[in-house]
Amino acid sequence: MKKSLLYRLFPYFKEEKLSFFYSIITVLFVTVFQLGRPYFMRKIIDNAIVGGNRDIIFFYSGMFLLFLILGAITSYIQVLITSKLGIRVVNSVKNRVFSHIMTLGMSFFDKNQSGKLMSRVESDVEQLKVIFTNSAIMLFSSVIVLIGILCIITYEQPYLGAIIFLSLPFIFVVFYYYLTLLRKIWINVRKKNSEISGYIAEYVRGIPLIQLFLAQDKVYNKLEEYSQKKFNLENKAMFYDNFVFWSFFSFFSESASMILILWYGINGIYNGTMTVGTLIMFGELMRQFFWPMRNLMMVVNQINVSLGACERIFDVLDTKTDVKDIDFNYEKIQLKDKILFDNISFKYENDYILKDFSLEIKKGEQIAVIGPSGSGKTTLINLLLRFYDCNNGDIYIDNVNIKNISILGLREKIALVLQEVNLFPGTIMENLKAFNDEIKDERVIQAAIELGSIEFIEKLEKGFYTELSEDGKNLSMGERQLISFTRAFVRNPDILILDEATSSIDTITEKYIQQALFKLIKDRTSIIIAHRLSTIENSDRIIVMENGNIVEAGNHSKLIKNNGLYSKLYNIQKTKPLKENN
Amino acid sequence: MNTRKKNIFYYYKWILNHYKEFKGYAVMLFLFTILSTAVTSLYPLVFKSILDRIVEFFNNKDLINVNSLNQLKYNITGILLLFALGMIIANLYPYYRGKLNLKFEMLLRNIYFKKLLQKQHPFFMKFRTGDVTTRITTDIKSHPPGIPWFMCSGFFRAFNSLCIVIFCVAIMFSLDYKLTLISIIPVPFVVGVFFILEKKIRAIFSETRKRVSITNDFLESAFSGIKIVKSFSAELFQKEKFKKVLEERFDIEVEAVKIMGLFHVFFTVIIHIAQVAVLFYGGIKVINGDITVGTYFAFYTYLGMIIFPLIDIPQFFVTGSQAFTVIDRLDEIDDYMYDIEDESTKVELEDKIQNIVFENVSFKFENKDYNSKEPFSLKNISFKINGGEKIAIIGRIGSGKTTLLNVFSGIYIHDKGKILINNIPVENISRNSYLKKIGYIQQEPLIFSESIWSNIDFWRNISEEIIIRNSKMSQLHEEIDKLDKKYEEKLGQKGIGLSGGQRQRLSIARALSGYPDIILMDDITSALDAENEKMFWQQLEKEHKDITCIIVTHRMSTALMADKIIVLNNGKIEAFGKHNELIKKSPIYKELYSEN
Repeated sequence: MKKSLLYRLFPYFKEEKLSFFYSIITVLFVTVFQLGRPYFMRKIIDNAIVGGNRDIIFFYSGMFLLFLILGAITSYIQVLITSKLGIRVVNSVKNRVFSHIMTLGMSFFDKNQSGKLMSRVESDVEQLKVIFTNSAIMLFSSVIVLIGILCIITYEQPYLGAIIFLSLPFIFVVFYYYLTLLRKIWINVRKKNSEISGYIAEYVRGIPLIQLFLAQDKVYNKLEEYSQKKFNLENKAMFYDNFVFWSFFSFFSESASMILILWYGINGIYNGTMTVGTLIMFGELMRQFFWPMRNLMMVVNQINVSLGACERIFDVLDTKTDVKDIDFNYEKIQLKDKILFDNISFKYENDYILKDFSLEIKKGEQIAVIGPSGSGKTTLINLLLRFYDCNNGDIYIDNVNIKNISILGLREKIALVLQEVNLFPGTIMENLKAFNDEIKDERVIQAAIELGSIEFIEKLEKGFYTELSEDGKNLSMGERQLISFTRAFVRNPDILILDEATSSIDTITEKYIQQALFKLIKDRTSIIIAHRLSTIENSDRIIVMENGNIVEAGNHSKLIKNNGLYSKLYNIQKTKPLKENN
Repeated sequence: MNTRKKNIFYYYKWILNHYKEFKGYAVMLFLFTILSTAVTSLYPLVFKSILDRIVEFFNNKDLINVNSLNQLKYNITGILLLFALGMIIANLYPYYRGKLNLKFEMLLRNIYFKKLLQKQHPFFMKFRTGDVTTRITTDIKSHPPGIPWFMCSGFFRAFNSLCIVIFCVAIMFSLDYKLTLISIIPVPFVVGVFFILEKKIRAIFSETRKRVSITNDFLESAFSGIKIVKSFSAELFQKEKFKKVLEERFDIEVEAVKIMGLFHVFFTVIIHIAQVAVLFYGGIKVINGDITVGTYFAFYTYLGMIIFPLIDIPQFFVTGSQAFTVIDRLDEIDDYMYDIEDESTKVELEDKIQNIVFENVSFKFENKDYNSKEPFSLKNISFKINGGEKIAIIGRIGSGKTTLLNVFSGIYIHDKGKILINNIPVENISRNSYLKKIGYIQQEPLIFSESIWSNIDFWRNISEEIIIRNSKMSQLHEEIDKLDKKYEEKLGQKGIGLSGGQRQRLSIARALSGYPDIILMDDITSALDAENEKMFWQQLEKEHKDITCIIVTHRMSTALMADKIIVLNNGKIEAFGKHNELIKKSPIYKELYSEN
């Protein structure tokens, strides 16, 4: 599994081929310069000092200094190249993950909190940086050093070299088992980590409400629980890491092996098959072997931990969208005739919200959809916009199944206004354009004039270029609604969808909007879901829904005469209230 | 807001303050450090002495026999095993360091979350959710350069390194003091350079952290507002914007790496130059016969041993700089002093709420710098409400209706004027006792990703009977009954799984289950259509007798049902009274009424 993950990361490096290549070259140089120094050291000690030759001391000291400075320069260059490479690759992965998430269907967002997704894109990928920068270098140079030393050992003491080679598989097996065990634990740790982040992100939003309910202590206790669980897991991981593995490794590499060599050596000297000098060299070589070995293992361990994050990232990248898009059929659709909902059925989880539902909307019609909550009004819109696909039946625009139109083409001609206004970091102008730079400022200003939102926008110091604070908190609820509305107008859609948007606007301004709406509704098909009957009165047709079906349909006067559900609702609105206050 | 004087000692004090809980632990780590130092520093000597024994043994040819050979082997094994024990214990040192890192992480996160829970509304106007979350999650991590890591591992590793250096230098001194002096020369240079760079390093890291916050803010909006993003086909633009956000981070992140790299390289060169000097000068000395080869070799070995620890020490200061920026960010949370005040001097509100009086109350938002012409959102609001009354609030967009409700609920604190509850000024009333008596149904209700039951109960442990009763009254119960898991159905973030109307009705059930004296409703038209609303008021009368209601509404039928109506215009009360009076007095009211 480890292999396949690294394999999948490789394409991101391919994008930075050149940098990667330079990176490796510089690392090679750095390693050479690093290894050169002890070599010169040895030369000085062995030859010069013992031999008493000053010139050689000068020469090798000079070489040492040269290698030192060259090593420093290449080291700095290497750090620069590698970190830039690391940051670029990490950014590349972040962009990829974000882009992919953006393509997923609504059901994905229903299941995954935004806090969780944030940690996938930002902090999980940051973990990868560790792999791409320091670890990769250390890994590389440790391997080189290790190989170098093994060669030296084998050259000078073939017998010892052979023993080491034979024991390597054993070491790797134990190490691999240890890595797998630890990886499982680290994955859980990261999971706990994002649980905590998600919990904090969610509840921080609601602190004023939490205070209202005097629930601070309870909310805090829950976090304490989460924190404790994470602590326990990480503690366990560290326990296995240090207490168990490294202690054992330490003992083996530094004491046990030394004892074995000394026994072997002493016997050898006794038997005359070995000299004291050789024994000393044995010991020295063993130490030189275990030091890079230890570094290598530590680096691999670090990478292992980071790979835990990797898995979660690839989990997201592997999720496919449930709404299939046809890419090659992008043509600007234009509603010429009608929208048809043909015998559609749909359920989110287990219960059908819509069952065998049919509805035809002619071009230019203003349709009002009313009914109690859960009757399927919002679902209707979700399906038209292809946030979800129907389980049965189809939706047609001008006799073309919407599944056969590209999603981009479909949504381009529809504008959505929701009750819950979503605004984004940026200026009012940017929000009104929905970040589409191709829309000209004039068009936006014109829409604001027609709708009347220009009034309050111009009162602001920076006007259209006012930066919105998070979620537009620096505007009132009504003002945000107006922006949401203006945004839809700017889009100039064929089909306008208002989902319960009109209920939060006061009657006076509502009238203002009604007038503008009337202007723009000419030649525009619109579907309005509302509770305010005053809006609905003026529609061409009213659809009354209940339990996923249409129970009444017709215009206002016709429905009043019917004396059904609609007239009941309407009469209540108009009727004098219970208490007459004179 | 920041009146603290911050120098290096401030940060160390901040850290030491948190050590109070862990005194015993700190002592243990201290002892571990000594042990680790001893083990590391003595290893070469131990090894050397063993070799010496072997050499000596084989030099005394007469004494060599099988017995003494075995004796030698056992002796050596004994020494090494003893040493091995020391090494194993020394290896536990990182484990205990790591454990304390984790404890600090948990401690800080819990403390600061608790502090956040006490903050009032202006705090959240200033600090975005994404930013605040970053400060208590990403910034507090037990890996470098997180602050918990620095507080324990960072410090102890540096301390360990310092001990090793001191120990080894002491040994080196005993071998040859002149050589030792040469090798120490670079140290003041390095320290000097570091202090010059320190401020710059800190500034760069602070900026880096800021950028991470911006990234998180962006991601949060993009994901919560995904429906709009999709319907406006703005996915591509979001991708472009995200790319830009990351690109803007790139430069500063590279700067950070550059400066760290530079420092590291500079340091390494200086230290190794010392090594060369020793090599050179020491070599000459050996040739001149001033010192023995053995001494030279030992000296050289010790010099090699202190290199990594020596690098650790300035590394500590650099990591420290980064960690200090985190402390700064946590301090900002502390400094923004909008905590709930001390309750001990306040009066408990025990009786039912009989009346509420507003006298010339004005309110303005902090940081409302975008509209300097008219800072106050509410101006000179005056009225009196008696317990049991139903008050409707109507008005145009931006007239201040929600603001008024927020002032009622205590989420906003008024700036001018007086508010009296049961004739007691609100400043003298214990906030908790007041909050228990009000229920607030917001326009955009906050629902959490818990079960429906948990969302209604909201940790109050209300009996099942009461919750179901109020749930029925809010016309929520029937719909919940239809769900698979009924009340145990778990909701997604922000209440996904319920429609907008259902969420508001849940919010109503939640507020009413607490049997408050006053209920504040910010426009429930999306929750209940006209027919259902009528039923609701009827049942409310029966179930919550004499409850005071303050309702923001656009439905004239609701306003007509009220005892009195407040008409708001531009933050001022344009009219206040009964329907018949307002029809004559208030032009705005007349206009609204005739529409319906």
